[in-house]
Amino acid sequence: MTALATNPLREGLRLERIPDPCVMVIFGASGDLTHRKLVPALYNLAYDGLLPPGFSIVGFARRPMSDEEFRADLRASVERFSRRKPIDEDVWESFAQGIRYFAADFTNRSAFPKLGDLLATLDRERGTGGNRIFYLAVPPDSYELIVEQLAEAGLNQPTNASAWVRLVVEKPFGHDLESAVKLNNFLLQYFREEQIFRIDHYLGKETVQNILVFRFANGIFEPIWNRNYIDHVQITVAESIGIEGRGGYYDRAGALRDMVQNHMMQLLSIIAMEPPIAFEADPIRDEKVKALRAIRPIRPEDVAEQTVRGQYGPGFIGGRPVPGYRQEPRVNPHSVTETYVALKLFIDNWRWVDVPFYLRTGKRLPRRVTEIAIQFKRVPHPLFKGIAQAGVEPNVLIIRIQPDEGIALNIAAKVPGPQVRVRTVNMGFLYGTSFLVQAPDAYERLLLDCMLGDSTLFTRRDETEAAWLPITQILKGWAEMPSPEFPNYDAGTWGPPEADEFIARDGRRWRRP
Amino acid sequence: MAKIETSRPLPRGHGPFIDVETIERELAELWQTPSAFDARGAAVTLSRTSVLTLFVFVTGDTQAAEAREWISQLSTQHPSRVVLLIMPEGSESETEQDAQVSIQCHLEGGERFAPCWEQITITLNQTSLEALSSIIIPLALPDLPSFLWWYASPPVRDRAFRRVCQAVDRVILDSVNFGQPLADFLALSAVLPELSRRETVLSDLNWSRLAPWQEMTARTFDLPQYQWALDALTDVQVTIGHTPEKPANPLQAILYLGWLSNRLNWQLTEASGTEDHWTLEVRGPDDRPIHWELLCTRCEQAMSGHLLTVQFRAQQRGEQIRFAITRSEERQTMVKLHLIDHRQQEMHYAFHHAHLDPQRLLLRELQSFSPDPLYAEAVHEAEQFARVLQRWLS
Repeated sequence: MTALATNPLREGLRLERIPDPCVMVIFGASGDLTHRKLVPALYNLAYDGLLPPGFSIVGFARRPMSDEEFRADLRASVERFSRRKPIDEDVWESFAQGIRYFAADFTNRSAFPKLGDLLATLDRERGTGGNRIFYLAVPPDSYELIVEQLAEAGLNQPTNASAWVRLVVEKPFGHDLESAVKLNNFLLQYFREEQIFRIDHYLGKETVQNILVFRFANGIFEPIWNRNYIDHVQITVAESIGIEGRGGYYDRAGALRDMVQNHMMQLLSIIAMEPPIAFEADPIRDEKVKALRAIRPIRPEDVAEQTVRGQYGPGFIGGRPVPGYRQEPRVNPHSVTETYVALKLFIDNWRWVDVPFYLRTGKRLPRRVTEIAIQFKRVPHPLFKGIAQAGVEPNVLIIRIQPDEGIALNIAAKVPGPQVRVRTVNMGFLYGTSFLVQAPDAYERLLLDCMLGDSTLFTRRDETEAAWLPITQILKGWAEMPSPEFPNYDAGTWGPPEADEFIARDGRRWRRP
Repeated sequence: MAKIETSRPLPRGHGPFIDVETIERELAELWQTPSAFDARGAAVTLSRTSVLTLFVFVTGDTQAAEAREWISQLSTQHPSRVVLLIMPEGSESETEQDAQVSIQCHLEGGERFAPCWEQITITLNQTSLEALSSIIIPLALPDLPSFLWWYASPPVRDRAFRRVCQAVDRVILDSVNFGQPLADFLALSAVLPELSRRETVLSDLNWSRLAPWQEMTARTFDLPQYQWALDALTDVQVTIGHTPEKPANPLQAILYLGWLSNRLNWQLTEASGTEDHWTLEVRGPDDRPIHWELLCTRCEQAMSGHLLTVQFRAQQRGEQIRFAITRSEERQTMVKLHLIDHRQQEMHYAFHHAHLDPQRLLLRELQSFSPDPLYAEAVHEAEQFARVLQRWLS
């Protein structure tokens, strides 16, 4: 940040945070992620003036293509996927001026020194000052090869004292704890931890960040945010979509790896963490890791008790017939991959001991909804017993991530009239009705943070590993159990009946979000 | 987007003055309106949300109509209690105070909740400026910030105006609308310390509009290969829009120059000019001379008083750089940078900036609560330019 700090005109400007001029090298430049998410997000940042002048992109992919052809390809993607339409010619012209294409194979050793030459040219011509981001938008099996080649060409090190080099790694970070540790060890041979940005786009969502503000900027919730007042927590990530052409990947991953290990464990850690000492990357991540490490180990013999698996069969979504999972393209017709999972975790620390955290996620559920429900305990003395007990439900605080982002508190209120009748009413704050502004896409926020060197919303090594530990324990337990009878729920329902029985055994029930 | 509106005039109490308690009572009754239905007949919950109280002061019916349009646009994004204060013009001035309350909701297709806001419209009489703070204070929602947007040209030299300002947390005005730009600016500059002592924050939209210009200027010198140019500037040329119907208003330009001078420790040494073209000589901290030109150029009404271009030239030991920042005429929210160095290497850079869109500019103002120290410093620095320019503009 030296360049910006020495510019006296920058002091005191009240505008957004602006990164240093830099270049982003995207490995997998012809891939879906680049075209659907990364470049539209970068264009939107450029439109809003959040990219520095001189910002450049180098697309790295195998297919031979000229700079001009690559720009035309990216332009088509921006036109299709950007939240801003139509494309703005002036913004596009200035954005496209910094786009280059580098055709090479990751396996070609001689390509990487040439990539270094191109980056040096951009430093001279576009003033990118040696600041580089290497974005691995490629399947995980290519990570090691690319990282090794970068290091061999000396591209993992800054070229001058004020320059920086960062590496962005997409999920999945491994497929179990052992592979995650191995991957982390490998990356750390060549990049320091502060150079590595492990991206989980859920953390870029405004409402996920709002949980931190809700918990730690409001004094009234923290005193009751513990086992003394909370009965249990339910985290639901329901999707109405199926696997959307990702059959090859999904059939190997399943819901536990695809959703729980990353997105849901992030939500869990943000809900369960202790207050950090500062709103900065490491203090926040320290607390998240502590919460994850406190998750009670799941013994193989407990896995059947603490988890439920499901796989959808044919059914209806919104009145439209949809195929079952096994009928989806590129899915093994005898697949035993779970598309639904429900589990119960405990966090063994002073705040949460014996409070169950129920997590459930699934595909082809009736509606898309992500929410966290904090169910408070019943009142200690049932004052209205007999006269109005039927209406008295425990308070529930619902943090809705999507859609209708907001926070609602269910409270009991007297129905007006001569009799004492009690009903639960919903007191809601809807993000969208108080701040009716379009939130930026999660990737916009995360890419900008990466350029700014702010890793608060990225997962640290110990965080990914701590999140893998219970997941790996469950995977091991499942491996030792006979495969369930799949499919066991119809598309368009709230999951297998076993999931309802699972929570009912504890005297509780799933919310109908 | 459909809209529902329910409103009622207030029953007049005793005497010519409006009764704040009646306003609150009538509003409370309006909120009893049951849920509305969208175009498909689905029930929509009317959602009452307020994040602030916004008072808007206008003069005459024309401004009132303009302000209503603004309020409608702002409130769809920033639901508030809005109090529209209308001061009648000329012969209407003897009218009695009058008030009306309304609730307005926007129904977005497919949404289950319709954000609503409440509006109170009060027609004042001429004596009301003195008493305005006594209307404002009880109508402000408790515990939420209160803003006063002085849509009309503000009477900055009137003591009553200062009292009104102190009744709210933040006052928003726009020096591009000043009737006598330089004299009013100097009067405002004199008021600022007093308001600041009383913790009222004053913001000038004309200053906020400079943000993209400041940002673009700063970013040019963020580039490592052009950082040397900041200490080697030789010429600065600033062009502002002007329409013949109104006197030239150079305030945006002199605030920009005030900011530059303050940041770079430049001192004004000489000035010369005509009624639409001024030359200022300044010296940098190393006694290096810098030549400034300030030009007025014909433009459409909407751009009058606004910066159109800023051009810089820097030279040092055989290196030279020229850059121009331009506000796009077709898309007025865009600023463009064109930079060319001695090797004829060019760079284009363009972005849209919220502060050049009037609606988004106001929304940003409604989201900021703290004073901008750069503004106070720039105003202080710009005073000397305003005094000098008065010779040719008064």
